Amino acid sequence: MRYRLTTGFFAFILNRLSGVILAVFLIPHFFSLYFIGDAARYEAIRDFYNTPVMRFSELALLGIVLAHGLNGIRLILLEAGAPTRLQKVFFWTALSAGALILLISIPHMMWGAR
Amino acid sequence: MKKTAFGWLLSRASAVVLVAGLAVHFFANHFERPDASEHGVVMMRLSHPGWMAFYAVFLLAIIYHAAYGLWGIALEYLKKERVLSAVKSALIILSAIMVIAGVWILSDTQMLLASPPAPCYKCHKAGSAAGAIPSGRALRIFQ
Repeated sequence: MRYRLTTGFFAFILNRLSGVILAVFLIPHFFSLYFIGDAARYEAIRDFYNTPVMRFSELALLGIVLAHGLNGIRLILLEAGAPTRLQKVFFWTALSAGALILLISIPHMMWGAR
Repeated sequence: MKKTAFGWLLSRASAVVLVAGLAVHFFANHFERPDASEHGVVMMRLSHPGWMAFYAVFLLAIIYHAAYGLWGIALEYLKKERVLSAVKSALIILSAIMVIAGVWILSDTQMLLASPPAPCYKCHKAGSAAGAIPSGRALRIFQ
């Protein structure tokens, strides 16, 4: 099979990659919440998440979530019978909506009080 | 309904739950208020049965969705029957561990709330009474 870089294929790769990243992310996410019964430890972990690198990672996480989620909505619409000719329109709508939400979130995610 | 079709439908249903749920989860923990992810605030939120129900559904949805997605990828790339069944077992075991961990985390928030009095969650930052806040697990043993 030869892959061609069409919009659909790009969307497919984006969904697959983001899906794997999100699945793997669940493990450290649950692990850090494992200490929720210990307030001091929880706060220490939260301080770590407050460092610039981690804040940027959280912003990236939001981006990945938006990419996967909005692309998923597009996929469900197409599977439910929305006309296939609209698939590119759906893709670019999802991408721009995601980019817009991400852009609006940058100040709060990076520098907002916590 | 065929087994595969049901699995597929469930993955789509969980997807819808997750899109809505993640919006709520992100908003509640990052945007709702500046101290939204502070220990006391998270505990307060989870003391509400509605939030508990939300996270119980959210947990099941995300673990199912992740396992279904990873299984789909495995089916596409792996051909050998034995390798596939090993991956299937691994995914089932990992999913079970994640659900148990999730339930453990959720139950821990409830155990802590059962203990009076409400402590100052920021105290350790000010350098006072670092160990004054009881741990959920410790309470479970000693109560």
